[in-house]
Amino acid sequence: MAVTLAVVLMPMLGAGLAAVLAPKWRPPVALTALALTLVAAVLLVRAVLMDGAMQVRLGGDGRMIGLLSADGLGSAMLLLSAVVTLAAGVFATLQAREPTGPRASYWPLSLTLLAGLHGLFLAGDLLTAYLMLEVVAVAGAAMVAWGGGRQLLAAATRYFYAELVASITFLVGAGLVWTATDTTVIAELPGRIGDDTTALLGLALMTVALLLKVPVVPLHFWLPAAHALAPSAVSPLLSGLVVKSAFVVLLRLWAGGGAEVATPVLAQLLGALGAVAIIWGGLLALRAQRVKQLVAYSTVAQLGLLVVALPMVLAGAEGAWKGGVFHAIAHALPKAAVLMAVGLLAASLGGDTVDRLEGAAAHRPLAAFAVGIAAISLIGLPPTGGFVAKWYLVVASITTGQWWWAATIVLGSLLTAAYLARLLQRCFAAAGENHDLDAPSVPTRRGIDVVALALAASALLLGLYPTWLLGLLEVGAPLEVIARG
Amino acid sequence: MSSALHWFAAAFLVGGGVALFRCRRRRHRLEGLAAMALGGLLLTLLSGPDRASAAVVATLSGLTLAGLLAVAAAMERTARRDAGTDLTLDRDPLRWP
Amino acid sequence: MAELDLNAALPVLLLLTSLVPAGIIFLLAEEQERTRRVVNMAGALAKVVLTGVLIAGVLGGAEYEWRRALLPGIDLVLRVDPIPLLFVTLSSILWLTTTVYAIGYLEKGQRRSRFFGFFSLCVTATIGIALAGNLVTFLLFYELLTIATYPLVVHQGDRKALIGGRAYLLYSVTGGAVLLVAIAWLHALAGPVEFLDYTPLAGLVDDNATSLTLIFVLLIAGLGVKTALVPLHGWLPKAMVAPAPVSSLLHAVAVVKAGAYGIVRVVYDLYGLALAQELRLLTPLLVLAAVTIVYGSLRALAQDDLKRRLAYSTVSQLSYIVLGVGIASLAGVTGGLVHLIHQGIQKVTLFYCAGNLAKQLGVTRISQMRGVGRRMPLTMGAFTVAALGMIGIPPTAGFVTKWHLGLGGLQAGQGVVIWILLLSSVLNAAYFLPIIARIWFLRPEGEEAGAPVMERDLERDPWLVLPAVVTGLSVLVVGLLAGAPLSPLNWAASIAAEVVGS
Repeated sequence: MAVTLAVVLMPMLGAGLAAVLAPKWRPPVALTALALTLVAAVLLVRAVLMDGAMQVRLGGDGRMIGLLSADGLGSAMLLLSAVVTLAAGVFATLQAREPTGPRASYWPLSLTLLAGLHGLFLAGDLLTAYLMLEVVAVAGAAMVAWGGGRQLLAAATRYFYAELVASITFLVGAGLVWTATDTTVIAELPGRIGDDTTALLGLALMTVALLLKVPVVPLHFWLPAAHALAPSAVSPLLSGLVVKSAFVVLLRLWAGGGAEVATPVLAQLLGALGAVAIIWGGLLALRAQRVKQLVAYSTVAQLGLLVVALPMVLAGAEGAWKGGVFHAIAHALPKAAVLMAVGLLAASLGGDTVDRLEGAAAHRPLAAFAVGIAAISLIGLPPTGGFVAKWYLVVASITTGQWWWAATIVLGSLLTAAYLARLLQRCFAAAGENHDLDAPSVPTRRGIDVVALALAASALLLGLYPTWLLGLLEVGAPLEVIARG
Repeated sequence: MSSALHWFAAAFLVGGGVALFRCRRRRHRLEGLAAMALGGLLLTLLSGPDRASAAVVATLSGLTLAGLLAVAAAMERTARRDAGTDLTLDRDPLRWP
Repeated sequence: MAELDLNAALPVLLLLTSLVPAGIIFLLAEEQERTRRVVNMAGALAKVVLTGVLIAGVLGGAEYEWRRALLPGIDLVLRVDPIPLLFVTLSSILWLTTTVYAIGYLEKGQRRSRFFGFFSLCVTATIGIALAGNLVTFLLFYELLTIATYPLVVHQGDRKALIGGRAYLLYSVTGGAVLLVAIAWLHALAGPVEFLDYTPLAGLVDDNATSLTLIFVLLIAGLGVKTALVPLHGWLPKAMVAPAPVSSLLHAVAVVKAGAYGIVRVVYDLYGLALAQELRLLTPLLVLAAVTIVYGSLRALAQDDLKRRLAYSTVSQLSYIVLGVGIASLAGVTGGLVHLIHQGIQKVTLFYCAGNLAKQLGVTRISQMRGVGRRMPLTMGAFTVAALGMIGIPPTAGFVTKWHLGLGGLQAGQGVVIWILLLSSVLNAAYFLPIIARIWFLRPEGEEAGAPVMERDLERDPWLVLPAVVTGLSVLVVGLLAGAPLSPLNWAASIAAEVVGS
């Protein structure tokens, strides 16, 4: 109970402190808060593993205002976000003395974001989820905007408007479901939606809102610019965590109340959107000129893979649930590593286009190595976390007889390999004539490369020791509900 | 409450969402967004199973939405101050010339 | 108990003898040449010694197995079975010679730490492939091999190398993806399956024969990419832009061999010969191998670039192994298995020699090879022996292979094998004999009659000459002593007896 609250309150407290302190004191205070949050997250995971899922009701005298529910899925995502945010914080600290370094507002904003994410992962009812989605939206968009410049502001504004429209839509959808079913608790929805038009409309609105927030093709228009233009310490949070938060709500909603109303056709349609995302995002990444643009399209494609898991989850495949969530986690670590590493490479090679990466492996081996290891996990080769996810999804697609998803997943892997090979090939090329490596344009500290490498290595470790996480994901998973439905 | 109203609300939200990105003026955008937010709140207030809970929820959401609108207005203002014109949002900024 | 632990530790130790050097070498600075040599050689020697211990242990009846849960229900398994031991022996010995060669070849080269790091990683992957006790473990190391080899192929970093590397990645990753689907399908159908445990698949044959056949096709397609079976061979000639030691490793020890070895294990240790025959899977494999053998030889004829000709020769020669897999008789199985070894030592010799020519004389084309035999007699002597082996002239190793394949074909009532062998031997002769003639019987260009050029220092570097001479000699020795008790042939024959008997 105490740790469940601590994982949300600790970053909130840190954010408050960081907001009022003098800029000089912000990094140490914020890092301390991040480290303590990580400790709390680890304790929570341990408690969930040992005692099972737990719930905390907010509000008094019989009237519930909110419900926090810590299950395997939530606590796993929570641990992930604590790790990635701490890594990004260390990264930002080491980057602080450079011109591209973070502003003082980074610290309260990243802590606010973390508090919102943690609240969202724990949200057991629709209204808590709505509030937390808003917190995440504000903090995320504000961090994108910090770099300044008209292009970045436009990207941030588009991002923020998309989030806002989605939030209002989600709120209305939640309201309709509330009217029709008399509850906002997600776990109580199964059995109450039936064929009530109002409830179905509410579910549909919430789904559209979440598809816009994740985002899933064709609603992904806002993502590439926001993720590609955001500073190096911010993009990892956006691409690794924020997009997954909406997916968690989507997954809970469909595996809960949605499971009983989801016809096979509807489920396949959802999956088809994911399949289109995988292919379309992959093709755009193949053509991207800037490195971070390529990585952003890669995110669009990899998010499609999450959605592809849904029809298999709804068909009752336990492996699809595990594989989907595992992918959400296994994608975040290497993607964050890549975003940090390419930021460093771009700074020291003096340009952010793919061609500029020529000779990177010789010039900045640690960062290039981080990209390489992360790529292995993103493609889904063993022994990485990405492989475990892909293995479960492919096996699930075969056991449910929906073999076309296996084909899509494999095709997606090949596209991933193709566009990441574009990066790696440049890295391994002999230094090009188009730039002079002896005079890096921005001085950077090499110790910072280790942060990216550590995140990439953690994806590798996750592939070698996946059992605990797979076990964790079983806690409180709505598998019986689905099997019955 | 009739389901016709619900369908209207859904159409209003989707239509408004699309229109928002087509607007060239920040004032229109902000007004449109405020209208959507107000409509959403109203619907929530009307739809709660009991008035008391609905009021709590509507107040909370109303406060957040007001905060969000303020942030949006601030971003728009910054952009205008920078270049003297409103942002255009109908094209991907990555593809700006 | 202690005995048991040691038996589980040995397979892992065998991996560590190259994994640990890889880690150390990555951390070494570029100029620490001496340390790097010591680490490299120590690892390679340790591996050979450990392999010796394993062979002695297996002869004494010991069993070596290490396992660890990777996923619920799926173990990582490293186990020393008869066929793996054969492959491990080949890899560790040729890794030793190739390490020696690479040290000599890359002297004063660039980015050597990176090179030797990935080089050791590549061998780690190969040993892992060899010892894999189930398909998931196999896949893990198979993909690691792809990853570790890519930086070696693009080592030069120029445009040509990058194009070659891209082709290699494209083919290999696609092959790996197909393999993943096949393995996942098999897992969904039969649960966890391990090599040499035939019961799960045998139980499926009545109800799921079609699925088993399709899975087999996918497995062979996935493995066929690395084996360079036509039409999946396109990457191999492009990847020969790599430095000579890498080509040696690619063509003889690691990459293409891993593919062929995978096919051997799928047929013999996963499906089993009996099931494969029952599902009628062997004849299509035989046809595929025959087409590849002839096609590779025909393309080799047309190449003037020496390494390209050797690359097409690999395409052709490697399929003798697959041909042997397709022949379900004692001698046929023996011939295929023994060619795992024979093709390795022959091809590695040829690439060493081609590398020496390029490094010392700048000769990369066959048309430039006039009279080089007199300038580099030791190297060219080794080249000649290996080339004769490729053609299959007695008493070389290649002859032993072809003899058994032919005999196997007759035993199995597939007389067509004889014709394939004859045709391919004629083609082999057609593309190797002119080279041999040019080396020895034509005068070097620009040389005055009666004024032989004596350039002793061309062959003074033992790091470069010794590996070629040793492997070249082994081609002869293995052929001459084929009847000896511990020869590859007898070894292969005893495995074949088990395979056919099971």
